[in-house]
Amino acid sequence: MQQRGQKVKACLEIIILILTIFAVYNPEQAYAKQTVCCERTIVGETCIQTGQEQCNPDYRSVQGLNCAQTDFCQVGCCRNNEGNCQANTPKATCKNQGGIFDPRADCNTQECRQGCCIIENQCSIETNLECIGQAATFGRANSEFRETLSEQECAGFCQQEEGGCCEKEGVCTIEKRGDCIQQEGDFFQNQHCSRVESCTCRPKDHKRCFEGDIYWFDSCNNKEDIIQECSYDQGLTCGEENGQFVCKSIDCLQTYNSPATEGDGGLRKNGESWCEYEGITGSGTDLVGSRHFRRLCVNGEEVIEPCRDYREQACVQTRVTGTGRGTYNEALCVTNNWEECATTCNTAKDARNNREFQQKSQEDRECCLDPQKSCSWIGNENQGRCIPQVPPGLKFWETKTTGQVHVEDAKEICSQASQECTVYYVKRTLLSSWKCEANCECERQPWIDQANAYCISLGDCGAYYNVDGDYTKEGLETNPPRAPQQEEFVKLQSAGRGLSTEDFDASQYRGLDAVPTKAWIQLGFATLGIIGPKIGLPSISALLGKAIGIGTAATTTGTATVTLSSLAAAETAAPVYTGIAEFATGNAISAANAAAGSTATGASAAGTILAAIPWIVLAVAVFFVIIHLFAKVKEKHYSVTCQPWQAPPGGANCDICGQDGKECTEYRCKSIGQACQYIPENEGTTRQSCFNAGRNDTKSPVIRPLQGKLTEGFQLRNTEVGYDITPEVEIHQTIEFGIETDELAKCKYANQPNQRFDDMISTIEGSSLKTTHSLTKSEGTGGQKDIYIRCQDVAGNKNERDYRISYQVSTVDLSPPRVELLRETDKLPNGVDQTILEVQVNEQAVCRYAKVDAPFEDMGDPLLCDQTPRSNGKYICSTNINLDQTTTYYIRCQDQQGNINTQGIQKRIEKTSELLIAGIQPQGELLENEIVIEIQTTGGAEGGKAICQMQIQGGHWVNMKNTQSTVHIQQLTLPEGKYNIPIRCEDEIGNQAQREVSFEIKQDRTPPKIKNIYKEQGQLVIILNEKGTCKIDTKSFSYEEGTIIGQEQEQFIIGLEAAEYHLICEDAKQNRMQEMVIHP
Amino acid sequence: MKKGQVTIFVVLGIILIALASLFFFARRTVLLPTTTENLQGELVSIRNHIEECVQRGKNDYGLLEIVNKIGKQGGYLQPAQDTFRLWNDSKVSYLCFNIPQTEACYNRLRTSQEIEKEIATEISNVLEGCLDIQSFGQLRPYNIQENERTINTTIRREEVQVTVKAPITLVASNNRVSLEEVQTKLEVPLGEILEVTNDILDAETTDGEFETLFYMIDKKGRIKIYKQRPYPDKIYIIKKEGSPYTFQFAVQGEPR
Repeated sequence: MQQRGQKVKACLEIIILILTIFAVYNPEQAYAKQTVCCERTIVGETCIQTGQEQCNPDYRSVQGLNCAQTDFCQVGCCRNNEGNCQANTPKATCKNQGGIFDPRADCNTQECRQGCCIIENQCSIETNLECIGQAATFGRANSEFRETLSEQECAGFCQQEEGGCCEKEGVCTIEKRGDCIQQEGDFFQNQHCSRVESCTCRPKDHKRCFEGDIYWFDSCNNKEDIIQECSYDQGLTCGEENGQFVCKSIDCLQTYNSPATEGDGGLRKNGESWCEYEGITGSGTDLVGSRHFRRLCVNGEEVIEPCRDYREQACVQTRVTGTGRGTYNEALCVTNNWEECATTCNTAKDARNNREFQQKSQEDRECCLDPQKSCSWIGNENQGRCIPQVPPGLKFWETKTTGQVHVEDAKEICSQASQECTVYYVKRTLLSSWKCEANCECERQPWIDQANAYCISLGDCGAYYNVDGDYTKEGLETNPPRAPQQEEFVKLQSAGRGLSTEDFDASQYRGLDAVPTKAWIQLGFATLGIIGPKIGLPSISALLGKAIGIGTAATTTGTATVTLSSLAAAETAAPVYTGIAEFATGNAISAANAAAGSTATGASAAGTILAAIPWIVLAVAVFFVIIHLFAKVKEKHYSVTCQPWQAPPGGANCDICGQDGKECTEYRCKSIGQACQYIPENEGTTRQSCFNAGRNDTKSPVIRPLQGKLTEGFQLRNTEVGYDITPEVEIHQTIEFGIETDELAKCKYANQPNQRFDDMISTIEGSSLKTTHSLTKSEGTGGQKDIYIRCQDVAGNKNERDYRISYQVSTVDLSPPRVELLRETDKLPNGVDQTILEVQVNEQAVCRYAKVDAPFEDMGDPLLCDQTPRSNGKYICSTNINLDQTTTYYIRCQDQQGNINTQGIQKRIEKTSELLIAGIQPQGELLENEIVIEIQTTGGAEGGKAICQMQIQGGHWVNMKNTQSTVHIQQLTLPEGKYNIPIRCEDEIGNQAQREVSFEIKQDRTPPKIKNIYKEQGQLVIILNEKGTCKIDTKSFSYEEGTIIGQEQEQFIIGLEAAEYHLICEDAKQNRMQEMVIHP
Repeated sequence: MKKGQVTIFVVLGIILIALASLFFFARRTVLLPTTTENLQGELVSIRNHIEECVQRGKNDYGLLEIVNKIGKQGGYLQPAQDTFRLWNDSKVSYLCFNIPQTEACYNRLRTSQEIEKEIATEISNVLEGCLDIQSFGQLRPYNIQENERTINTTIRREEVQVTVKAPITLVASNNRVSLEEVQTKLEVPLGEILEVTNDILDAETTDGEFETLFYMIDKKGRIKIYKQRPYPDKIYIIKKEGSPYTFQFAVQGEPR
């Protein structure tokens, strides 16, 4: 019975949980749905952005524009009859209130400027019009308006004319003269009531507070003389203490001492403000889920103000000195303009040559140090990196874009910190060992730590802590697997030093200042004078040259020598030697020449010995050549993939959200655990807002085969522990397959069975939380392949048994290398002549290219190919090319087994023409408020297809409504005025064009005119110069009484029955022409 | 004496007491002398009834609750769709709407006159369900004449005043007295708080931000403004020192 009861209880709990999830109110719906601007809604609201169904059909509505951009809801100053002025008020709202609308939005007009209004002996802050109105209300003819007085000065002005005692029917009160007269009392100016004979009030009866000071009051409770002024500026105000009225301190004697913020707590002065943080801040180190707060001390009360969530605002503070109150803090929440730090201000990495790199580095630094941005430059004057001062909070739990303007998903932001590095080992001679010669730092721990620090600095990315001290490392994937060093949380939690309003302290940054990415690879060769990214991987000759002795003069010992100039020449023009044999041959020849050259002398016995020297030298040279014949270079690829930070699995701690007294927000909730769900309805309340949605989930994910993902030509066969793939897979062939889980899960795999989930290193698709998971594999060796998979759901439940996928790989490689292009055709922006020719090969190979397809042996130009696979299992082969016209290249490769491509892969590189903007409309003078901007684009990469944006009234750039083609259209409703609207267009490969569209909108104040009038087939035809409504009569008439002959048209036809017609026409703007008499 | 004889006396006693009670009751009602003083006294009861209805309504929903609701919902009793955000169990109205890609917002222009009108309408509805003037005329030697009722609300700095213009006349055979209007006040500093609200909106519509600390210090702490930031909006909560009354409204923001 008890068990049954428990079962029922459990079922009810589950049902309630499910219903609660569906009952969640999504506050983002207001932003997600299509809204229009309604001039008036069906409930009478004006200028509201809402659904079309809410709009009153008798009024205007516009889709695609914000209300402030329309004519009928443009913002301006609204003045009502009482002279009250409101800034930034929509036109329709103002008119609805019966106000007068002025397009000057800031109300900076004489009528609206506030000043001191003095009527009799009463002072108040009003506008000029309000002052006049009030004087009329009180029946006073005299009023004075002083614009220059402040509120305090204004109050003080009238205090000098403070009233006196007003006595009426034995009741004595302190009043102003005007009020006393109104009450028909007797007024005794400037006298205390206790001194008025007819009053029975006793003087100095008791003390009380009045407006912060201590005063005497008489027995009738009228204020008398001041006893003590409590200086508010000094932090004092009148208050009661132990039954006495004294000047009390209104400083905050004991404020909150946050464990995460240094230097807070203790005494704070009245009017002081300071920052509170939730851990370490700035220098790209803010904890995931953290937020900045501003605290204030006002009249003894400590008030907390949160800065904008997602760290879209940061709290900065400064010490103020030299005031009457000594030293104190002032703090503000300022906007964190982080967006451009890692993107617009980090363009040097995409430079294609040295000169461009240096130029872009300078531009990046200037961009980064722009005071309008919240960035920090890490580096020196010549090169460096730009990061946000305070990394933004991201929606790291979302896996796709939300579709909102200016919102990118977390994955895209974090991926900017992903790095690749190739370490080069050189074995100089047959007898020497492998030695790391380039980018060796990529193999060391600091490189991983720095890569992670850079990753963290871009936002909620990488391996890091949340505010509660939980560390996760899934946000940083390394290949081969290496974990960054985990710093102690205690140090980060209590390191919240205030962000200063002074320059950002770059010495706090612990991240990368020179990461050897693909673009930065040349830094390893900085001493060679070769600096400049994107010129491809270094040549083998350069590496070997460096190994052997760079910069040394040519010697006759036969050592193969390479000078700086020859290296530079090799990089820019000469073919790159990929074959060791060629290199050895070349060097042997030069050594032999050197040796031969030095045999020109000769003669005696000493001459004989001397005669033998060349032979000895030759022998030694040959010996060295043979040793160096076996010189080798090998590469190791390292990569770091920066991904959105992942919350800890499960949700055991969800309910601690908000328990520290700070508001629990969605951002904070999601940072606590993957299973944490936010309840928006509880926002702002003291009720729990964050709950564990996986509380009752104790089941691990169920894994099944993913149908439809298997590469074509293969089948899967279910087994007891997973599935097998048949038939046999060819060696180096890429095969794709996958699994699906019955709930959101992240999955990992291993090549060995029975590994615990936490010990598995290889993740499937970056260990994102999904229900479908796919793998792509390409094997370099034959035999049976088993992949063991385990998954974990959001509640932290993991599979305890492997799910095995097996397939057989053939041992014989008869297939030539599979060469893949990222794109068959590349287009170069107009003006760019240099690019990289790059292909991807499924196995280690040697590749060559030519402008004409030819057998592999006849292709003369080699590509430089990886010797170890990348993280995706592929080998990249590339080279720099210069071209002055569109060219097609053919590429063929040969693998290690000698299999050669019998057909060349085509790669076309196109040069594109300039993108041009043509056909701009409208231009000149317009008489309509509703206009259509239309422009055409030509040229560029796709025959003019581009995305065009415009900038209205100095605001942000917004896409035109109809764009992404060659014709771009935007409808606007604009008020009267002159307009120069900048337009900019960009095609898919970066060709840009800019123009301006200029026009003037004038109010149509001219009535219609008769353009033509004639008889035709017994009728009179009247043609106007614009559309209008016309009425006629046979005698003089008023327009309202006429007979309508047509509406909103240009051509009118009437009969010829009468001898005389009187005609009046009016256009849509109600411009009416004078009555015209027509005698047919 | 026998039991039956005692019973008769008991019954007679009860009848006498009942008759006496009836007499006194009749003197105060049906047989009430229709002097001016007595009729004025009746009017006082009617006035009290009206005041009670205004203050508390039928189910404790009266002026206080209405003004409190106005305060919690940013000046609106029935916030329309897409014009509010849910926060702390209240529909907090936006008094300033977001202008995309700018810091400033556009003013919704909620005037105190509109709020007065809305309160007046609501009070009118409350009175419809609460007032029962005619019941005062039952078993009375006079008739009650009622004319059309109008409600006016005035928001002052320190109080909200409701004036019920309800001309009521008690007409007796030889006398008549009238009550023209009933005034009720609620001591809440709504007027002053609305002035503060306008100051905040002035700053939000022009600069996109309002500095709370300097403003509060300028007012010597007599006005307290608490700013909350439920993403992506702002909520301002305004209180005056010495009053428990709270007025809160929202400023619409946009996600970045």
